[in-house]
Amino acid sequence: MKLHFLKLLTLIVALLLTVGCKKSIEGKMNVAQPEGAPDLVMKTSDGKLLKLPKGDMKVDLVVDGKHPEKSYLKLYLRKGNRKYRPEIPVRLPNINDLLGANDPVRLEGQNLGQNFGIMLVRQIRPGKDLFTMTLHDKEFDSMLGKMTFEYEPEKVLYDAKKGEFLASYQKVKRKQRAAVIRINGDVDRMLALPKKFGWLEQTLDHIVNYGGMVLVSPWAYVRYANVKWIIGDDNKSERNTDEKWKEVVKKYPVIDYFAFVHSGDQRVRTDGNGPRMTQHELGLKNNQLRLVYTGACSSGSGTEWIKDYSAVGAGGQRNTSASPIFQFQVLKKWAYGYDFETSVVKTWKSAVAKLRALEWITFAKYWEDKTGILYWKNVDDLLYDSEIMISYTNQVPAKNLRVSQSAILTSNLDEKDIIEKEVTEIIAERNGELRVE
Amino acid sequence: MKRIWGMLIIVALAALAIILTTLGIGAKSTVKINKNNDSITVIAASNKSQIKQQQKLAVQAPLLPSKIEFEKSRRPEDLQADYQVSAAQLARQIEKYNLSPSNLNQWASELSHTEFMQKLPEEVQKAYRSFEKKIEAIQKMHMAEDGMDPAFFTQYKIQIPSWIKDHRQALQGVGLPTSVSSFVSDKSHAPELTNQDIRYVLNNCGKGNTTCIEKSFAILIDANHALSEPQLEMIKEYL
Repeated sequence: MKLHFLKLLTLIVALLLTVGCKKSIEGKMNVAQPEGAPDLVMKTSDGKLLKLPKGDMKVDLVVDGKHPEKSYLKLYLRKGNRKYRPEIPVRLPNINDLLGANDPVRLEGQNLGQNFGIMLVRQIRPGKDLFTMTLHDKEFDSMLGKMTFEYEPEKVLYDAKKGEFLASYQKVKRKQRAAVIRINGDVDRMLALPKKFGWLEQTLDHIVNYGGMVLVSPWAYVRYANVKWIIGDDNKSERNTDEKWKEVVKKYPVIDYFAFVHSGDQRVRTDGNGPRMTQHELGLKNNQLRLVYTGACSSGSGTEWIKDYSAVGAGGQRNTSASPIFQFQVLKKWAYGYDFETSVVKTWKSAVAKLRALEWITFAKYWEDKTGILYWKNVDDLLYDSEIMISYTNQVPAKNLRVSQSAILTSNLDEKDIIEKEVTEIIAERNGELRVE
Repeated sequence: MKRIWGMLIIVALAALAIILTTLGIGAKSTVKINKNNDSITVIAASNKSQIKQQQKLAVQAPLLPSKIEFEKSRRPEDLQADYQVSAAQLARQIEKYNLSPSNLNQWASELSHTEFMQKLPEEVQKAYRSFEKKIEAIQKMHMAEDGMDPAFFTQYKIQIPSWIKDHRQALQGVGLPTSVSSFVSDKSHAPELTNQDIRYVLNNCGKGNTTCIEKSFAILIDANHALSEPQLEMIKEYL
């Protein structure tokens, strides 16, 4: 009798422990079913495939604290006249890491054990934070649905424990990211304007540059507390360049630099066209300038930024580049939270697919109309000349460099620590291919 | 009789549209003319002649009827045509008021949007606003292409905890030993903090002198120095 009682007690305790570990977070889901996108299909806990119709529903995110990989979504559906509550298993990472993250978290479908991927964005608010969980197809090409919920994570952003002041204070400081964005030319292919009208040329230049600034602003400001814009032709309109640099250098510990410009020496110049400013003259600390990416023709991999300005990573284009097809895409992907290497790889792959499909002809014609010269013989020629090249150090490889990270090199840099790569070389490595001549 | 003429005009316009489309190899563009409200819809271009035609339309935009209507479901080509028309209208306004592109660049990059607009005549402001609307449509296209939700742009509201603010405030009143104070002041301007620098501060403040250590490194962090994890660990051992 005693044995039975003990068994029962153990069972109850085990049950309580199991139940106690689970948290059910109530939310709302909207299935978007956009035109041309695949259906949102989920695998249920009994192994069936469930195609979700367009519309809104209640949903519970049931998180297993001890075994987050056993978490699931409980959907509130109706089949005929009966309630239908399928469970959709999702293998989540540690709940504190997931819901305590201060930057968007990307969960790939294969890791979730589902046909869809998730992007989770947290908006920190007093009390409960607001989470937006967007559901995407496996390639993250389309957003298929969206779930929102409120939750107060246990893991706080800053730790008040004894001895944690400096680490926490530094984190607060390091949220102060700034970017310098220089624009002189078409930031994106969509902003192209014909240039055969001499009387309008300068005005059209301003309009294209202004349009570029308006276009990239949301992606820039979502990630940077301050953005300094340098707009226009170096020789004609750029003023106070050094003041802008000096201001961000003084105020922000992490600075990224994006230059959407034509060819030429990319280093920082006094008032745009004066002598080059050294790292010392700018007052830049080592690695304070974190990433430099330029769409300028013949900018190469940008090693000079690592050597001369102690940047952590850099990127540019091999030769006469069709940058309006690439450069804004790099900034967007970087802002979405991809590491630098993946940002350029994804940009390159999608641009190549588009160019090979159709856009090569329209882009080449636009370029010819604009400049009077057709630079490239064919699409292969365009791709070779435009190839994105990057450089980084072996202390912080490009695949470890993200917008949310403060990158600090662990020791003084030797020139042999700098690595230069072409994007096609990185793709070949990722595919496990061996290059032959 | 009027009806017959109306029908004939529509048939003629349709035939013209078919001829234009047929002439372009793989053409995806057409020019729709809506007889009833005198509106013109420019839809796409994918070959040289039509790009030129589109560009011509864009630059001559101010000569078009004032009411320009675009299809609701927009393809990139449509958005681009729309953008070009709007850009041409803006260019015309800038030229009309003889505004210097160089000044516009400077104002746009240094002033807030409201301040920038205040510098401009009302007509030019309108043209800028209309131009920005077209860019917004292109932004939406980019978001859709990337499979992203506008919620991504919600600014993260970082709550700086009061304990950090209080702690930082409390350190303001703490004085540093002269040797540490001058060292920290010098190092604030140095390009990097070495492990040797960290050790110097720690040794001169002394083990357990939390206020001295924290104040020194708070000053260095304020000067935009970054402390690496191993350096933070070194500091913790002295606290």
